[in-house]
Amino acid sequence: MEINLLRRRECGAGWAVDVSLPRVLTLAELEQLAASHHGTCRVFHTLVWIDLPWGRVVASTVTTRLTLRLHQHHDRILDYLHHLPL
Amino acid sequence: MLEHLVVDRPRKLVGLFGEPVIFHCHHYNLFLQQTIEDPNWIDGVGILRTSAQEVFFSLLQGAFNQLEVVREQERWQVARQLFQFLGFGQLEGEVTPQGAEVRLQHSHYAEGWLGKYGETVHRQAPIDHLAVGYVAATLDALYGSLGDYVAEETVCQAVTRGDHCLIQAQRAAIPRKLTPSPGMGCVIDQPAPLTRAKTSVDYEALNETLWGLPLLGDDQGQIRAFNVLLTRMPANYYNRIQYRFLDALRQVNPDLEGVGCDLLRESGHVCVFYTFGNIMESVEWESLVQPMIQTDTDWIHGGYAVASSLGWGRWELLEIESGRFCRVAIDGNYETNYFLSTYPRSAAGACFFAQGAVPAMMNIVYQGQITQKPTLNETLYNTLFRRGNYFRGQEVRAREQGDPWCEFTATAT
Repeated sequence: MEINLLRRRECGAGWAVDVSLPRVLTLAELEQLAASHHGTCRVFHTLVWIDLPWGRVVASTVTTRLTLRLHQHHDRILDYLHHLPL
Repeated sequence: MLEHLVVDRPRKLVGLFGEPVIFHCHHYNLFLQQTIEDPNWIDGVGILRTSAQEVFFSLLQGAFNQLEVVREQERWQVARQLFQFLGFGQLEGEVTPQGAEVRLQHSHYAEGWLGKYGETVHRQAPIDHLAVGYVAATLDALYGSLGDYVAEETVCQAVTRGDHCLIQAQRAAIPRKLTPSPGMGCVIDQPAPLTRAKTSVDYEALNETLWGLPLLGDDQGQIRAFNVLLTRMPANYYNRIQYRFLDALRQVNPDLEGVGCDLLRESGHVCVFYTFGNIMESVEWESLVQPMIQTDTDWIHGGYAVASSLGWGRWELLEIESGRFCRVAIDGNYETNYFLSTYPRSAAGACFFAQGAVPAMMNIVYQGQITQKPTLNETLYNTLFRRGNYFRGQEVRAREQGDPWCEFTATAT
């Protein structure tokens, strides 16, 4: 899957990375992402928080954007997303 | 601590151990604090520290009583947990009846300031006035009564650029007579019958979803959501510092009060520009609010639906003309709840935060073009609001003057 990145400065925590995907991820895919990285997945209506050992991914079941707040560990999740089917 | 939050759904208020608590972000916290600490002809730092000591003393006493925590070291642990939960950072150290030396890490104010201004400004004075008041309040609640202790920040990360701050507290040579918080204050008896302007935004559904989000300080004591650094602040801290700021200005020179009111309105404007601007650009907004939006005016409705979820009271958009005008009611505003429990009726509208916030919501949508996701920074802010032709606000009905609710307009100039 091809993804677009926007790295932006956030107060007090370094950097956040916004990820634009070509399609919306399913809840099953988000849960799988959490499980494969020793994280937990919590769902609030259409909003999904994936808490990983290094920080949080804010995701959604209705929008193609994710926000990664993972300190220096974004690459693992980006790599995972790259390998998802279109 | 989450389980101790009490959501008052009809009034759209949130309580914690008897105190109203509300969300605001570091942009507002820093701007408001700077507004109060900058004038050197008043004791702004004293207002900030003392107000924090008073309000957090009430909160901590409420917590200790409700949680039935009696032993001193357990109470200190509760105080530390509460500080972290509210998003102010982490406190570590030992406390004794003689005093304390407390290490503050990941300070909301210091790290927020460094992130916002650190690259361009070299700060000379400590910034953690709230934490100073909190530590003094903790010792008051542990070993004495309100006003028995004083504290000082001896190392500040915003000055040193190090990794922590240091706060030292001791018994005051002469205890000060301080005033506890009025708690939930003068709340409305029941919601007023207000008619919301037509919209596809379901305020109540959004309220429920947002109230259900576990927004609490992480292991660093920071609440990071909606693209901003949040705090869940006792509302009466904001109320007390803003009204005492005006009292202090008035005592110096009655003519200064008007300037102070303008500055407080500006802090509300700054708050909505950054907080709601960032919220409207967040994944949270895209996921929860944007699917309900059909028109440009729904962006304003969405903003007020979110505002009503932050503990600010019941905000209702009553009337809106796209790009030109709006009329907003706040039924049971947090500012008025405090004002009416502390002061006699006002001669004029005194909800200064809301007076700035209402035009700012129009400005961020219609001037800031928030739907295009601009970069929200001081450059954009100054570009938008120094060129004129923006929305100006007015409080046209005021509960603090005797009206049943507060009402505000924003009009394009």
